[in-house]
Amino acid sequence: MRETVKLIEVARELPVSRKDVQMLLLLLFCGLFAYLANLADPALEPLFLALTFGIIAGNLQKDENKKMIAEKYIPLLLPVGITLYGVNINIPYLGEFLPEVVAATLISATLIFLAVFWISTRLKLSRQMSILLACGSGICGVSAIAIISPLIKPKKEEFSAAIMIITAVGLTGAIIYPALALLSNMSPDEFAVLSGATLHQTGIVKISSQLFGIEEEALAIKGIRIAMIALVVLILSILYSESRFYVPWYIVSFLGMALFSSTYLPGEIVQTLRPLATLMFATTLAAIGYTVSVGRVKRVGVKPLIAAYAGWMVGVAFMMLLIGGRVL
Amino acid sequence: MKAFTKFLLLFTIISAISLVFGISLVEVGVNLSYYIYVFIIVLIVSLFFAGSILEPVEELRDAFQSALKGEMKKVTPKSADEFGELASAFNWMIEELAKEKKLLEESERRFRSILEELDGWYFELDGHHRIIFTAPNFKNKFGEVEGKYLREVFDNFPIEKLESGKFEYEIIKDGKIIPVEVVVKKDGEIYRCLVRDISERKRMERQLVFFREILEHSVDAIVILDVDSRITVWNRGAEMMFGYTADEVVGKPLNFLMPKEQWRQCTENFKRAVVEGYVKGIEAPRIGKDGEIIIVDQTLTSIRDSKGEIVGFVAIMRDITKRKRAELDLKNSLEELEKRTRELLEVQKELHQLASIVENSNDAIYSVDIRGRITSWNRTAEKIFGWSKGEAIGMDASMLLPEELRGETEFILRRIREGDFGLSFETRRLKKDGTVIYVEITVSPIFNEFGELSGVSIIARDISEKKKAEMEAEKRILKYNVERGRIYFTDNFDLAVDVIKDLVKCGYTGKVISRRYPENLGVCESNYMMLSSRKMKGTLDPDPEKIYREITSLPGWKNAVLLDLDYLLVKRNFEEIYELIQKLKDVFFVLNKGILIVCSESELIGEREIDLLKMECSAVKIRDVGIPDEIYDVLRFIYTKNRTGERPSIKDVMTNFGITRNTAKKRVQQLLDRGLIKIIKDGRSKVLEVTDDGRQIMRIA
Repeated sequence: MRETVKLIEVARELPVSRKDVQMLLLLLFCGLFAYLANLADPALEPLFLALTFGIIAGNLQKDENKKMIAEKYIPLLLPVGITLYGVNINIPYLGEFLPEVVAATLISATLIFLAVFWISTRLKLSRQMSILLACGSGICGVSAIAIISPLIKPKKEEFSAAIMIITAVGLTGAIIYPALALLSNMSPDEFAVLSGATLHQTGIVKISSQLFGIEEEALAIKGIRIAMIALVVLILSILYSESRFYVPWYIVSFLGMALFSSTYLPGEIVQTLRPLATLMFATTLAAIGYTVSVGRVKRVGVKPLIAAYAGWMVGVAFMMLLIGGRVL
Repeated sequence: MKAFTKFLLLFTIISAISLVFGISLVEVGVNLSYYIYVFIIVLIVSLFFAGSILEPVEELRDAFQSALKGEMKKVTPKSADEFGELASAFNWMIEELAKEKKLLEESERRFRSILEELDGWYFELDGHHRIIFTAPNFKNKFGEVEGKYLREVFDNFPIEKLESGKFEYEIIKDGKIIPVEVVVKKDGEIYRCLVRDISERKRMERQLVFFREILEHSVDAIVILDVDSRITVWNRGAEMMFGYTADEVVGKPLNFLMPKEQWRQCTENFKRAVVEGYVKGIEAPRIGKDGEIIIVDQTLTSIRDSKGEIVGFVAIMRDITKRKRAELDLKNSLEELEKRTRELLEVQKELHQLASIVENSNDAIYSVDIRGRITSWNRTAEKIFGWSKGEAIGMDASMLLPEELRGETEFILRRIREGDFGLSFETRRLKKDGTVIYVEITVSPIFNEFGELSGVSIIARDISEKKKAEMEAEKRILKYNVERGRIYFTDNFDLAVDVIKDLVKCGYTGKVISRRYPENLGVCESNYMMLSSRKMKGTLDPDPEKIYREITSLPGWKNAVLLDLDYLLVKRNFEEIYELIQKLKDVFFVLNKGILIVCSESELIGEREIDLLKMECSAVKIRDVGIPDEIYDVLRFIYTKNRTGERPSIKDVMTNFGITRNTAKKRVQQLLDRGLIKIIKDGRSKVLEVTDDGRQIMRIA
C-alpha cells in the first residue's frame, strides 16, 4: 500500500511459483465468496467481505511466507482492480434531476466529507485516516477508500479499519433508515434523496430504498455522489503526487474507464465487465486483508468510529432539516 | 480464552439479546438479513471498542514483551485512569530498566573490550572442567569449543594444577608448540582461566641469558651506567682489565677510572652520547686498581626506553695499551726511518754533488782497485790522459805509467798498507798518445764495508807546464846542473855541501845527514842530523832502514839531502848501503822528492864500489856562467826577485847575503859594469833590475 505502483517492474520481478498460484487462488476464492454474498444481499459490500475473509484467512493461517506472497501481488492487483472498477462508475446526467436535489446531494456529500474530516482531525486521527473516512463517508463508501488509498498511502490497519467502520456506519443506516422514514412520515422521493445523499454504499442504498420501491431514484442520486470520486481522486492525486501535477496512470485509466463505460461502452459489455471488475477488486481487498493483523486493526480504536458516525449524523441532520423544511 | 475474545463474546451476546428485544418491537417484519447487518455492526463496533479498551493493556503487554526482548519502548498514557497510571508506572520501570541495561551494556562493553584487548585467551570452566564461556579471541584461535571438555580441546592439560592458581603449559596447535602461562581464579564452581602466550617471553628470556653470557664472558670491559653515570653493571672483562670487582665499583662514577685531567672530556663524551646516541673511538687512559695506566678504546652509547627517555649508558672498553705501544714504536721507527731516509737523501745529494764535483773537477780523478785495475775515471782524466771512460775502466793502471815508473802503483799500495794515507807527490804519467806529462797526485785509500782496503783514489793535476817552467827557472838559477828526482854521487864533501847550500838558496829544504859537525859544514842545526847510535835529539841511527824512512818521510818534494856515507860504511857493509841508495833512488825518482847527494871521501870502499855508485848515481856538474860565484849569486838573487815582480835594493843584497854595504856595492858595481843589471830610481830609493844580458846569462845557466 505504501509503495508507488509500477506495474511493469512488478510484473517483471514476479516469479510465479506453485505457492503463488495457491495463494492467488485462495485470494480469488475469498473475492468470489464476497461477490456471491453480495449477489445474495446487496447490502453486504463485496469489498468489505473480501477484506474480512482475507483478514480471517491471514490471521488463521499466520504464515509469513504466504503473507509475503499476498504482499507481492498487491501492487499488481490494485491498479488493475482500480482501473477495471471504473466500469462501475456511472456518470449521471445532471439534467435529469431537480436542481435542488443535485444541490442538496452535493452539499450533503460535501458536508459529510468535511464533518468527518474535521471531527477526525479534532480527535487527533492521522490525516490519511481522516481522508479515508471522509471519502468513504461522503462519496461512495468502501470503493472510494480502496481507490484513493494508493494515493495517500495509509497504513494497512487504517485502511482496513476505515473499510470496516464505513461498512458498520452504512449498515447502521440500512437498519435505521426504514424506521426513520416510517417515524418521520417521509415521502418516497424524500427518502430516495435521503438515502441517496447520505448512505455510503450503493448496495445499502438499494436495500434501504427497496422498501419504498424507489431504488432507481435513490441509486441515481447516489450516482451523483459516486461521480464525485473522479474529482476527488484527481485532486488528491495532484495534492499527494511525488512530483507536481503527476496523476498515476491507474487513476487516469480509472477515470477513462468510468467515462468510457458511462458514455460509449454498450450496456451489455458494461454489465459483463462489472462483475469481473468487482471480482478483481475484491480479490485485491482479500490480499490486503490477508496481510493485515486483527490486533493492529482494533488498536485503531473507537475514535474513527465516533468520527464516522458523527460526521454521518451531521449529513443526516442536514438532509432531515431540508426534508423537514420542505425544501426538497 | 483471551480477554479480547471474552469481551467480544460478551458484547455480541448482549447485543444479540438487545436486538431480539428491540426488533420484537418493530411493527414491520424483520428480514433475516437484518440480523446479519446487526451482527456485523456489533462485531465491528465491539472490535473497535474492545480495541480501545484493551489497547492500553495490549500496548502494555507488547511493551512488556518488547522489554523482555530487550527493546525498552515506553507506552503513551492515553487516559488519566488506572490504565494511564499503569502506563506511567510502566514507563518509569522502563526508564529504570533502560538505565540498568545501559549500565549493564556499559559493563558488558567494558568487559568485552577488556576481553578483546586482553593479552591472552580467556575462558571459563564449570565444575566438570567443561568450557562454558570463551572470549572472542579464544574463539578466533581455537574455534567454537563451548560445551566441550577441556581435555578435548587441549591434550594433557594439567587439570590438577587448576587449583594452584598459576602454572605453565605447552599447547600443541597445528604442529607448533606454544608455551603458555595459565592463570586460574576459582569462583565457586567456576574456573576463570586466562592463558597467555609466553613464547615471546621465553624467547626474550633465552636471549637475555645469551646476552648475559656474552656480557660475562666478553674479554672487553662492558660497563652499564645509570643516568648519573654511576656504575650499575660491571662484567668479568672489566674485572680482569681494571682489577676491581663489581662490589668495589657499583655505585661509583665512571670517571673514578680516569686521571683527573680526563674528567672534563668524559663529561663532554656523555653529553655527545645523549645528543648523538653514541660516541665511538674514544682512546683515553684509564687507571687500574694497581695504578697501572691502561689505554682503552671506548665506545659510549646511551640507552633509551620506549618513550625515548635516557635511562642509562653502556661503556665498552678494549685494552689497546699494547697496540698503542706498538704504534708508538712504529711511529718512532717511522720517524727514525724518515730521518735516515732524509739523511740518505742528503748523503745521496752530497754524493751526487761530490760525483758532480769529481766529474767536473779540473783535476783528473780516478780510482784503482787492489789489483791495479782502474775502477773510476772522470771527465778531466779523459781530457788529460786521452783515455775515454769506457777504455779506462778495467784497464791496468800501469798503462798510465812511463816505463821507468811501472812499479809506482805497487809502491803506492804498499805505502798505503803501511799506513801512509796522506800520500802526495809529483810524478809523471803516460798519455794515450805516448807523451809524458808531469802530474801532482794525491792518493787516498778506499775501504770496503768491512774496513778493508779495496783500492785507492788518485787525484792527478797536470803540472807539466808548471814543472817545465820550474825546471827552466831552476836551471837558470842553480849553480850546479842538478835536477830534481835524481841522486848524485860525489867524493868531494865540500862540493856536496855547496850544492846543498845552493839548492837551499833556491828554495829547497836542505838536510845534511853526516857524522861531521854542522858548524864545520856551515849548515844550521835545523837542517842537520848526526849519524850516531846514541839516541839523542838531532841524531839518526846509522841504520839503512831508519835512514830510508827518515829521508822518504821528508815532507814535500823540494828536498836537498846530503847523505854522508863514510860513517855508514864503518857501521854497515857496502851491500846494505848500496841497497839503501837503490831504494832511495827509486823514491826520489818516483816521488820526485828532490835531490839526493851521497858523498863518500872515505877509502873504505874500493874502485869497484865507487864505480857501482857512479853507475847508480849521476855526477855533480857546476854550471859555468863566466862570472865569479859570489857575483853570480848576487845576479841570481836579483833575477829571482825580479821574476816575482820585486826589485831589490842594495840593502836587500846586504841582508840576504849577510855582507857589508861596501861588499854589496862592489858586487853590484861589477854586475853593473858587465851590464847584467841596472839601477832604477824608485822614488827616493834605488832598486836593482836584471838586464836582458843578465837574463841571458841566467838562461844559459
